[in-house]
Amino acid sequence: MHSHPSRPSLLAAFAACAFTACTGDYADLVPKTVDEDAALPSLEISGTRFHLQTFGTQGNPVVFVLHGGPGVDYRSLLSLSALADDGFFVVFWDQRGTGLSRRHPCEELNAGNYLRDIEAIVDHFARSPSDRISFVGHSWGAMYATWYTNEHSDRVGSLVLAEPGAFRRAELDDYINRFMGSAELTGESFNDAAFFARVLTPDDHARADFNMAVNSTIIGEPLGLDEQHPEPFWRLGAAASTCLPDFAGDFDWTTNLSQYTSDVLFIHGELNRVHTLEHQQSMAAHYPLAQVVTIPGVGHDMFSAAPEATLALVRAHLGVQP
Amino acid sequence: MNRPTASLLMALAAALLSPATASAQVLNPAHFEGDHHLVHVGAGVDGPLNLEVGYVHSLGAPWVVGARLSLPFVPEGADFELAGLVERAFLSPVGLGASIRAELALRNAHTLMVNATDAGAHLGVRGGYFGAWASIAAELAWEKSLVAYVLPTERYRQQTYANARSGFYGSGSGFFQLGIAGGVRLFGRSELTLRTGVTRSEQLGGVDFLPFYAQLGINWVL
Repeated sequence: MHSHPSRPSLLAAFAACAFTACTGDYADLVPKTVDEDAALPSLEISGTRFHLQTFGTQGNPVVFVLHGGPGVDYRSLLSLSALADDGFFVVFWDQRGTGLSRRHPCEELNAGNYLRDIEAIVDHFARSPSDRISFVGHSWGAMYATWYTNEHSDRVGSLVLAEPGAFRRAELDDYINRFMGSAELTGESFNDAAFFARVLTPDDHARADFNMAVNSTIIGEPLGLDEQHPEPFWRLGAAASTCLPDFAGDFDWTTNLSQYTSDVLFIHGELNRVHTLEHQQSMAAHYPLAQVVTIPGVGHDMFSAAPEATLALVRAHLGVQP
Repeated sequence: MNRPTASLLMALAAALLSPATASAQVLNPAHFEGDHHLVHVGAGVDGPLNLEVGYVHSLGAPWVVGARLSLPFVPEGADFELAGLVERAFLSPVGLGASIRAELALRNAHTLMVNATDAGAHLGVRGGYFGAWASIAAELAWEKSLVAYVLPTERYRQQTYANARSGFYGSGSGFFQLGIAGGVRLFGRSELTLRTGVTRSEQLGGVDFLPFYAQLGINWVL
């Protein structure tokens, strides 16, 4: 229960606060990271500290879950922890600079560090240097998994990709243009956020992260998100969201995908107007063998909006017997 | 201190030493003597798409005072900005000169994630030609939120962070606006006005959302 001050007392407090140091720290509006809360599960590796959780028994086949963004976190994907009941060792982490992982300055949120991060975490949890591990990637996480597969196709067993945006720079530019074009400039969410942007400017990490959380509702409609049960997240990493694409350069993560000859499962949400079925089919065409399956009645948030249906597809692809 | 900040302080000092000005509705100082009561209606984009109504009362040249209410184009009842303004003109006999405005504003921004109520200051200057039938001027404006009461919504607490603290928070950076503003007398005592330009951060960098502003308005003298 949060009490609201009365209007006269609010006005008086405004007057007082304009001339005193009574204001709070914007870090109080976003959750603490692993650097601020030692109780959070974490792993120090690759020159940083990640918020990281594992489910299941170490020694079982490993499934890595890669969240979207860049800049989102794994909270909305936790339904996949049920794969532990199927005999998998499931690893979740908030990627560099996102969620409850350590914050980094912009220049450290670059493609080189992101590739080193995933390589280090895979090597840390794989059962052996030749172990073939599995990925379930959502959105940017599906792009990240493809990037790793392009670099190390011999290390990847099963691959589940839920609505990746692009595998090449040209595709990313096209995707961003379509994404930006989908925003309704006359819509309430956009105008609410634009109005709020005049109140709070993203001058530091906490303010930028809070701003990004406030603005996250703008994309709900074009992505077909369930507004009644919004996707949960801990902290949107504004710096990672901005800096990683800027530092990605003219990438092409499809050059070695022909080496990956296993079947890839693409999962698509029917209500998503940005990652359309045609778009996902064009993404799938980069792999020698892939299938796109559409989940009806959901959008880009399929893991939280339809956890059973999504989990069933993932289980089937990983070879779990019903 | 960097150059933009130094320039800003100089502009602030000038504005405070010689009664003030800033953004929003376009006024023609050539009419400050005769236009005792003026109402303004405008629409455009300045941050969000917005609608604006205002009232200005002449105190006798070169001073006016007034108030304006700005609402986002998609109002749902909780978003508004209410500002009080004072403006002073410095005009030569041929209509060349400058006009300086200061505003104090109270604003409420309500989104699905947060309700924020803030108090802010707007300062601005327009310099150019202000004639009886038309005006055209360059404008430089600055706005800054001074203090805000931030109240995360239940949705934010459920979706993101349950322990987010409601309370007062200090200001962030301000914004600059650089553009042109002008008006043309239409019929009777009405005037069509336009202001447009670019919006920049206090560090003269980009801004979230639309990096420009454009507002069309009509002034009526009562």
